[in-house]
Amino acid sequence: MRRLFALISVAAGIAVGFSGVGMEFLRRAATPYADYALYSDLASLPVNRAGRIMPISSAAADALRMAGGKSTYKDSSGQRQSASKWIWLLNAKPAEFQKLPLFRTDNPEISKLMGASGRYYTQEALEKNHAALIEGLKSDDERYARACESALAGSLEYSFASAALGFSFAQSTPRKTADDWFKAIDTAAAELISARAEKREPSDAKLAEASSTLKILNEVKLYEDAYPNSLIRIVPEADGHWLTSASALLKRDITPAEKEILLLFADIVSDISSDNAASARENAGILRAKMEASIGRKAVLKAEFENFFNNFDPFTRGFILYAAAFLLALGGLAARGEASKTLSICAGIFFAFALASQTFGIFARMYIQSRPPVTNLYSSVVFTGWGAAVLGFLTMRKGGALFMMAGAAAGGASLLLALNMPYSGDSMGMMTAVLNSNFWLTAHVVTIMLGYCGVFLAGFLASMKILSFALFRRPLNRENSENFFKNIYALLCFSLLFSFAGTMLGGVWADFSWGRFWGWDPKENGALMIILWVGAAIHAKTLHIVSDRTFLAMCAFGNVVAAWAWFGVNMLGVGLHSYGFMSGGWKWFAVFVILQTLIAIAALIPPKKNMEK
Amino acid sequence: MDSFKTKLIKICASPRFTVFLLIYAAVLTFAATLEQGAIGIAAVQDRYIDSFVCLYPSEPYLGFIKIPLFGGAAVGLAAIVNILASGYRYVKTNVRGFWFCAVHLSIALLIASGFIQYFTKIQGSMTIAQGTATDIVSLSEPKDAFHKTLKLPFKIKLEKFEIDLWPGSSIAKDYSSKIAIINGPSEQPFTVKMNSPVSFGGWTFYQSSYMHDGKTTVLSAVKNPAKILPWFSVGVAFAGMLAMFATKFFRRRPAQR
Repeated sequence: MRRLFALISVAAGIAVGFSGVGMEFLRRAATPYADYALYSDLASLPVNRAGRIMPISSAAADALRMAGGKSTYKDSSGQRQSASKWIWLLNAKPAEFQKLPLFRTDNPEISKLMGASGRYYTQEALEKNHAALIEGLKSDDERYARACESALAGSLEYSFASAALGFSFAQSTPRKTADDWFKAIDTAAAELISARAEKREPSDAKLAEASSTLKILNEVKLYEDAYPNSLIRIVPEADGHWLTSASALLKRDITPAEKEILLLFADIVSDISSDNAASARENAGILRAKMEASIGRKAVLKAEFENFFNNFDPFTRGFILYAAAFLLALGGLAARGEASKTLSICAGIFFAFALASQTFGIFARMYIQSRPPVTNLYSSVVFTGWGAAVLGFLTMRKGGALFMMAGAAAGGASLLLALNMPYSGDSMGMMTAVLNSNFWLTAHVVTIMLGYCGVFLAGFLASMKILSFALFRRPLNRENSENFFKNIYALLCFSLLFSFAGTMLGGVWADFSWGRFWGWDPKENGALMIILWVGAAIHAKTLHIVSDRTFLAMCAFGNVVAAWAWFGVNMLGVGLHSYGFMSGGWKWFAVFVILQTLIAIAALIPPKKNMEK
Repeated sequence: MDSFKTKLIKICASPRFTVFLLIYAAVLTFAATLEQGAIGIAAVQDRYIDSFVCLYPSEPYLGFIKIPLFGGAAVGLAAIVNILASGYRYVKTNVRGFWFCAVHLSIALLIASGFIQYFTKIQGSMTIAQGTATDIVSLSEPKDAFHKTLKLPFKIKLEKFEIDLWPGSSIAKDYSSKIAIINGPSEQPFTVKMNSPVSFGGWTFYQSSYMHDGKTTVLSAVKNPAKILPWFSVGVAFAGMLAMFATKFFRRRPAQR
């Protein structure tokens, strides 16, 4: 019986963990094959955005997320489509998108201004009300002004994306625009040369086209130069720089290779607008080969891998698996006898799949960025949850179901939090100069995050012990309990060691790079608070001056201290480390703090006499 | 009846005092952090950390309530006393006792180095325009009423300041200043970069900022004779903690039953 259930959960784990494969078949069956194959070929072509080479799917998802908050969109028939399909169609058939509600605002006034029924509004409405948004920037209502600013930023990203793959004039195609322009320059040049040879004034008519196009291109270039990090650059130059389609047209001595890449992009756009999928795929194949010749095979393969990573979406998968593991383990805790054991085994299997999925995601990001696993708030959340889950997994056999549940809860919560962080750093951006050092990033940040995961795991474990005591009325079994306290104590020692090492390495980094060991910056204070709090809990336990219950309460409250150090100080927005300023997070932060505080207080309420034994 | 000395050591080495100090320090740090948004990091450090007693907060509650607190310096001093007294009272002469001493004494040394650096460290900034040389270190903001400066025994000349961007973005990859240090007749070239400072004549120069579109660089200049103390104590404390925990959790258990 137990074996049967274990088999079923292995199958289910494989199904969710690798459902990418199954989903691929389903999607292929649902969409016309040519259409499907086309957009998966086109999604992985490398481009450059904000200084990083990435597949079109990543660049498009970033731009779409800036405008609409999501990395996919719903087409006119209500079907969800990928960001790469969006960007190609937007370049090829812009009219199709005029009336789709792709832009998002959280401000009710802007929603009303746009005539939207909910949070989403259309490009048509945006164009009509553009002036009103600019006017809104000067509003005294700071919230409204900020909402206008973010709406305009979204509109900007959108308009850059709409001409990213091929610059074209209205009523023309990118290919025709490029051909006309190159012809016009040739005509003008020939005219200037022959005029000089024949000693006459050059004819205005023959220069007019080149000059008027040049004027427009220069204006576009000026506009683009103002927002270098929002552009999608498609043409690689020999020196490692990249050009947008408009700036490639303007480049004086464009090389044949660069011109070919520019024109191939333009051709694919034309193919799509004339629904010629076969030709588009053929051109995409040629373009891929040209890219390989230009930026190297390694960079092209990396972009393709990143595209695979985008499709596979290991973090969403991991979250589902963690949730399943947690629920099964909870069932195991509530059930008795044989059923309890079976459920625990199934939970363990799901947990293993979840962990594998998250591990793959973290390593994939490290490969893509060529960086240590933690580079910003987003990745710190994912990494810390991962660390806690690994600790839970390792101690699962010794510590029992509670350790698994705490690990699954930490892993799942981290992924849920990361997936719901709006507009923040999942774009794997380049590191600014201060942080551009893999050695120090690894030494300081990764170590400190390992410390945080120990604190959180101990905190979740203590909370669960307190809750399971309160909810299931399970008396503290003597023998089990002793082991439990020993494990939780060991976890705290682990986290003290790592938070101390990580924080002090930060001090050494700062002293080495800026000449100050400690600056009382909010983030440094937060890290210090964790060390002090964990130190207090360890001393209190070792020196026997608190009861087991108070010790549990201290562990549970450790979560509040760690959450403050990690997120709370970011919300203050002061100092050096305020890297991921979050304005909307206060509410969730407060909920977490209140819940954890209540749990800690619950531990301090003395139990009824008969339950103590 | 204990003698006065034994009694004093007993109080100073009390475990409750240890835990109280740790929690109090955490609370003080939290309170100080909350103030940083209002009065700034430097003022907070001056008022609550580098002081023995202080009044909290800067804007009184309900217009008149201010709570008197012990400041960071008092906590640090008390912690050193607590550590030394505990060591005197409890430590046994065995391997564990050795590691215990190593960890706690180096924590005491870390706190002490905070006091030492407070008195011995000099930190300032130098603003140098391209092609010019200066030996003036500003020890406070130039706009302050009592603008304090200091003269170096040598001059620093800025040859060129450079910003290196990631291709295809406006995100800086590195900032660097090519400088020459003019010491009497000799002139030595150096490059100060982010994460890569230059040391000369007891001073260390760090890339801090720039002005006028990169025509002027701002370096911070630090003279810190006790620089090595925290590095040393942190290393020893870590090694000691590692040894303590390792022997505690990974030692072979004697056969039970």
